[in-house]
Amino acid sequence: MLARCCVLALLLTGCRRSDETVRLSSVMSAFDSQGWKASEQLRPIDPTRFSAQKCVGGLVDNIDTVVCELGSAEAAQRAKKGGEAWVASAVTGVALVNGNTMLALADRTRTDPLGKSIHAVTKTYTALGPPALAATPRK
Amino acid sequence: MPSIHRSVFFALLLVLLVPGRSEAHTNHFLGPHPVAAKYGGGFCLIEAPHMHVYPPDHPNLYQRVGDQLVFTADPTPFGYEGDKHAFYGNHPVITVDGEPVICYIDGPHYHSFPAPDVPDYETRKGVAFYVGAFPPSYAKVRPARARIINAEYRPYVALRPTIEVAPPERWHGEVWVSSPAIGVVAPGVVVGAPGVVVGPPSVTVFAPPPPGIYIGGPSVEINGGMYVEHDGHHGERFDRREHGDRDDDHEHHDNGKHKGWFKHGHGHGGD
Repeated sequence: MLARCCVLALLLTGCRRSDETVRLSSVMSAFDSQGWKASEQLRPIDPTRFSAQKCVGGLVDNIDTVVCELGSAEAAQRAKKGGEAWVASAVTGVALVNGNTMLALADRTRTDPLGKSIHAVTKTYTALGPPALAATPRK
Repeated sequence: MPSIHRSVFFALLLVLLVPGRSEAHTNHFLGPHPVAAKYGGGFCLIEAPHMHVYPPDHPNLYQRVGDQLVFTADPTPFGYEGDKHAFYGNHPVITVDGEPVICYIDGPHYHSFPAPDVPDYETRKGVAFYVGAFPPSYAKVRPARARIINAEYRPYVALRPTIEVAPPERWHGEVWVSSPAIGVVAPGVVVGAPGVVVGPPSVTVFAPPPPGIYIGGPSVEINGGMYVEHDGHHGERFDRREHGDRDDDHEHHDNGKHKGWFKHGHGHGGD
């Protein structure tokens, strides 16, 4: 009985940890909540370019956007290189990793010269990080 | 192959192999910074690590952290229109991998972020003084860095904050004067540069009048281990033309303007 309880507790703990990882769905929800209509604007794209399991692409707040989900945080870090390559020669670009996701933004048409939109999107994205990732205040 | 042909061949090979200066070259930035004039100027508001095709117009105002450029200076002369917070003297700007990156501007200046609410800072009349310790490398690096960065800001003296304040006893920085044409009278030292008066032991510094000082709220929120966002209220404002007379109107600005940032280590988003 005790062993069963332990197994159940471990399973529950594992599930909770899994839920805390940032995933594509949570990124989409966060963007939707900001009024960017990510569920409508972002469509599935070929994920192999980013060594990812699934990716969506389109416009978020008029910025060219790709969001990918990967199997692990380590894989997401590797996908960041693909994100940087995708940004290529855009005037302004971003490639960030959060949990099991990678976000790439590219302003190719100079619609966001001061980065207001990109700042808003990245702020929303990085805010999804679990508390454990938060850093200590600077000295 | 005749030698002339060989020379031409190697010259062509060199041209093909050595990459030219191209706009496609990506420059990595960490935090807000001035936009290159060629790309319209103004102030880039992105706090997260990001890339631009252009290099900085004023490279002396940046410090390199890994492959990233960090703007460690006063944004006022470069089209920044957000909240501003007054500092006096040198202080850490960000911490990367445990090592602080230092702002070497002497005297009064602004940053877009407030001083953190930690004992290493003392704030008097809205002016933050760093009273903590500097890393060992500071003494070695400071002379050259300070000379360069303060020279960059010489044309912008009028944009510095006007400050009327006595530095805390724990502060050991250098008192700044705005002009080399200075008269000094002891024992109550009076420095007579344009609008600058320094009078120890209660040091008072006056500089040409800009619009005002904005003191930000104390709350600190850390986003994703990359940088800190100071959110919420933007505190008191006092008009400098009245030298410290407080205006109790609390203003709230948030047009996507950042209120502070810094990175801790290479968390997600960093390299």
